[in-house]
Amino acid sequence: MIDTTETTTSLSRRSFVLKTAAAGAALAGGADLVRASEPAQAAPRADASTTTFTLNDMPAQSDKVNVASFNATVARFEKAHPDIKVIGKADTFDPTTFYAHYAVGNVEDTYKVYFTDVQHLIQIGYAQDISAWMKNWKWTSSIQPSVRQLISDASGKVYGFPVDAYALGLSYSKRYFTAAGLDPNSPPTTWDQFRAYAKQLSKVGIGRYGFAPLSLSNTGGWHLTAMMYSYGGQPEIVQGGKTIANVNSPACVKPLQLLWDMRWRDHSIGPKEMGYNDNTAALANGSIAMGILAGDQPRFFKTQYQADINNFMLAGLPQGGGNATLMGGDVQLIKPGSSPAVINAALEFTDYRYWDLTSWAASDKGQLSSGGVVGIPANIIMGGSLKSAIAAIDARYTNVPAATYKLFADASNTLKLTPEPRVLAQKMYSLLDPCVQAVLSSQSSNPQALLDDANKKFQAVLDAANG
Amino acid sequence: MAVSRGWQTSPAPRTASRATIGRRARRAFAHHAAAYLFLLPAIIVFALFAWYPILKGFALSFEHYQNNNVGLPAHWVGLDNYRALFADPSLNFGAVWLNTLQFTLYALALGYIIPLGLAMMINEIRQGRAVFRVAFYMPVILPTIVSMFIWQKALYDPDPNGFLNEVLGWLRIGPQPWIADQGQAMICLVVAATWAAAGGTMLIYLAALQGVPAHLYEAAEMDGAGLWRRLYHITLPRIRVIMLIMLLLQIIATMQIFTEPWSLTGGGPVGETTTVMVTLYNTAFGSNGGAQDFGQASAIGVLLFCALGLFSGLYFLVTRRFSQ
Repeated sequence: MIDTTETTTSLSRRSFVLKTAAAGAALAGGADLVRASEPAQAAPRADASTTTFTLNDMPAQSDKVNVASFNATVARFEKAHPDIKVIGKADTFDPTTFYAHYAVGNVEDTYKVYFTDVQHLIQIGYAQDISAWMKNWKWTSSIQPSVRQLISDASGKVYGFPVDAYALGLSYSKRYFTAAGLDPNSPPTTWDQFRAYAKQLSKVGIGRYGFAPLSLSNTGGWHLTAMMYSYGGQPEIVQGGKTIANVNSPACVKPLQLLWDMRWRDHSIGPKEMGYNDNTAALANGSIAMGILAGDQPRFFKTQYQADINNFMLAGLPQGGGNATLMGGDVQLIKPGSSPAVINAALEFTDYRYWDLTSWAASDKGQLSSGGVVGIPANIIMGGSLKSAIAAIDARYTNVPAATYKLFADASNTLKLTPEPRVLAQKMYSLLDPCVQAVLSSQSSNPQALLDDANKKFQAVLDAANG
Repeated sequence: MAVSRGWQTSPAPRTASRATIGRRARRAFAHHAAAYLFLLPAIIVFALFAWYPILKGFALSFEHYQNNNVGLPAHWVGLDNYRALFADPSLNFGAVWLNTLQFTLYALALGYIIPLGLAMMINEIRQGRAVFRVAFYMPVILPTIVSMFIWQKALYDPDPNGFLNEVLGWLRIGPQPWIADQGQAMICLVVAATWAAAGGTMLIYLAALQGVPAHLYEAAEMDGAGLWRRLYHITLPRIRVIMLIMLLLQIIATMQIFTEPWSLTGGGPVGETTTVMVTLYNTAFGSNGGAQDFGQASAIGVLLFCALGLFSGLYFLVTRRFSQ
């Protein structure tokens, strides 16, 4: 006789498992049915008449002063515009990660981007056409012509709202100068003087250097380009409608040779590689005496690093015959496909935040009361009547001695403010970064050879872009 | 009909009818139906989030998104993406592969021996084993970015008062540039990456060692075998299979290294620590001047896949005898 016990048991076991699996599937599906038949969970009730938008350039939480100023600006704006809600995110534009975020739809409704990326973003369709709004903007005629060109496409349609521009200058520590026996009121005005000053300053203490160049995340190329301008160099030139790489021309090699000499002959530059604001931190903590900074960076001495801002002077970039410095800046773009309500709300707020004179005055007052910095002529994007109006307001609230930045203000009026390269600037910077890194890390590096190689690579990129 | 096979005969094999085959298939399916049902969610998840992206990646390596805009359709470009990888001088594609191989070799030299050594030492300890296990495993708990940040800002600070330079100062050795130096950056990266990951590998070896029967060691000790002979004749043969598997997994993992070089050095200085995956990221997302091209980035991924697949196949062929 066949023993069915095992069979019965195993069948029962199989049957049990089958039934369990079926029951599980039924439960899962049934739960969905139940959920579907329930009234939909109430989402947070949004007022149909309120337009909400997000922006990317809220200050970092560590920058308490500017966060407070931003929040106060938002509060004033929302009070005046009860139908608009502003959501700020500290998601500063970073060309090394922005495109990744955009590709997966993880960008805010409006994003502040660098000058270097505006044309590229317009060309690849990452910016909304805002010509109609800009046409009616009251300060349109005050936009600097070079900036106007930057925010428009070839047909003249406007895609960007200009918000700020900076010039690169030289920041230095008064205390450090005094300790080295140098006059803080007489900073170097030529690169030869600069080199001599740095050598003297680096003797002040072990591990302290006269100067530190930037070299990471495209900032090395950024500052090197400014130095090239000051030597009269043009890293890219236009010939016959095509952009040609020119980073290995004699005027462009000179600044890299200067850095090499300072690193390996004078030892006035250290080995550390730095990115944006690393040199500001180093100036603040006294490990370097001089650094190239944009006009809007000295405020971080006080707001972020709690250093005595009165100790830091800002002067024009030393020169080597070019009588120029680099002008960069930011432009606000709107995400394409945004609704008209969002576009209008974002532009209204951006206008209020950056160019409304009442808001400017309120912002200056807010900066003062929360320990911020007012008075440094950092924003040079506008000319004409708007510039004069802003200067008058700043003069009422300034809390930084004019002597601190007078040399920089004078230089901004006398030096040629040359915009960052128009074509593939970030790519060029990324190819120049390794040149600066090589000079900092290897005594056997040859500046001419490094730039010859960078030029060849950049030309290949330009050729591919030119088709 | 009987079939003749020499002096033996055996009944002719019965060929099953179609109905019989169908019945058997249905019975087999019914027998395994529950298992299939339980597997189904996992199959769906794997299909959606593993196999489909892999196949899509292969296809994308032959395509190009205009303006890198994934909202626009991709069009076929054949082998152009692959050609571009080798033709673009700014990519330094050959050097990138050499960097990756260099990292893998150094990482194996350090990262294969050290966890094994740590596991063996801990296995010998009678008291306080748990303390050492936790201590060596703690770096693994830290997120990689945090680990690399600590190494970058504190330990590898090239200033004379940087942590490691301070220690060198006690030994009367001058400050070192560490990751700021082209010659030292790769070794620094390997040390930091090994420190961050050795604890996990150590635990695996420790588990394998604790599976070795104690009586074998006792018998060997009674026969007068010292530490090294016990290690060579008992321990290593017993954990040989695990060691072979770990070697393969480690090679595959180190060839795909990304987070450590990206966060510690950014791929520098002067591209010395730029690996294949760092290049893939730069190429996909346009960082560090990359092409911002998903098609080219997918091509890099396919090349890496093929290289690792070929290596794994050869590895299994060569080590088949040892793992039996």
